[in-house]
Amino acid sequence: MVDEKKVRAMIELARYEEGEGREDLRIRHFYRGDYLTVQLIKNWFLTTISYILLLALLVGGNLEFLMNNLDSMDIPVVLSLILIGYVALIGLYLAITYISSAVRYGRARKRLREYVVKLRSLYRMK
Amino acid sequence: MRGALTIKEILKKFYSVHSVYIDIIVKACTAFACFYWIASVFEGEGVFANTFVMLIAALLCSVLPFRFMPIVSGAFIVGHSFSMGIDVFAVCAIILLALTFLFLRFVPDDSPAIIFLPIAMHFGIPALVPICYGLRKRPSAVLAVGSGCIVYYLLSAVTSNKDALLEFGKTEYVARLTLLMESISSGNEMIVSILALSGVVMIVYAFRRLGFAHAYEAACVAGGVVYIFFVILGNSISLTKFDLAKEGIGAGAAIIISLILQFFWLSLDFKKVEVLEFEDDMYYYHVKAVPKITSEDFADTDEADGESVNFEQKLEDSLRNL
Repeated sequence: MVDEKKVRAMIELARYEEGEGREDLRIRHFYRGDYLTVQLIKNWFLTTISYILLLALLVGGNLEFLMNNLDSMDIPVVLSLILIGYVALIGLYLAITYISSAVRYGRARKRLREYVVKLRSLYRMK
Repeated sequence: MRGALTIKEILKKFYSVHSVYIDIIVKACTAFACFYWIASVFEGEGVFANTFVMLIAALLCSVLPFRFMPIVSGAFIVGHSFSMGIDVFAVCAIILLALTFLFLRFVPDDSPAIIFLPIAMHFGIPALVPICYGLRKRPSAVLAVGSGCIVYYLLSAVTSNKDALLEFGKTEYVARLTLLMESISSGNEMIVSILALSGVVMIVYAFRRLGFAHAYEAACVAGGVVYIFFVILGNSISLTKFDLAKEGIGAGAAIIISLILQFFWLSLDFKKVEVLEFEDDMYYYHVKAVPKITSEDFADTDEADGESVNFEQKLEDSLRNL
């Protein structure tokens, strides 16, 4: 005969596994430090690409102006401004990524602990 | 009110029975509407404007999660822009990629705003999308709403300069790029719109979290008012040229539509609020429970009015209690 209590517990666990549990179960394989490092590297890579693309767009859009004023421009100042912009953007995004990833990791761990408790209680059901 | 609640419950019952099919149909129709709108904005005639291609893409979106729809819409935008020249394609692709890498990857579930917001702005009801996001989502939705606003001004710049771009010829890349970039960055409309729409998300979220009676409805109205306030502020301070009458009508329409949507999402009966207080070892609980309004509440009221009281049932209950 179908045990209604057991079915309810299994549905709850299955819903978690199919929903936000999918990401949590993936995070489970990482230590906190490893997870944060992977996220920071991924973020650094994507932010750098975005910065280069936007810079290229800006240069392309103002190419005529740049070509006309290239002689009068202080190239080291322009390059250092570009570098400062890059460092500021990367710093901001790495800080945001560190905080959001740490929070996400903590929440995932908490949900996984609850998941394991429920899984054990399901195992003990007769 | 009772009629509306009855319709709501009929729709809910219908949805619970046929949810598998309804989800697919709604996703397909929404995706097709988005692709069709993009094609109409670009006035394109290429492969991406082909109804058959749009239908296939919409069918594909119908079986994929909802967050794939903005990705496919982005592909359609880039595809249409390619027919206008490699430089237009590059501008659209770079801006969409940068938005995805910098903002949308933090809020993947809110990413449909990048296509819904341009559509709402095109039809003159920009406040509708941020009000809905404020009612249903978290403040981080401002990233998606802001991105949607940038996409609208990108599309606007590309399509409004279509004739000018054609005049230059397809190999005059520098002149074409300069024109496009000037068109995108000229004026403060984009910045004022981003600030206004982000402000709407924040205010609506703050209002609905306050928890007073009819907070959700007040949040809808506050969202529309804040949008108009920002627009007037923009016109007076940063010399933008928003048509106040048009924006006012749009904000009014957004408030009405969001109130209707809110009614279908959640309608609460604040006359029957129950406040519960209890404690355990660690906490003291102060819980406010607000019942939802259903059509049965009205049926109970009718019965209580005296026309259809079941005396037989009452007699049986009394005898049982004896």
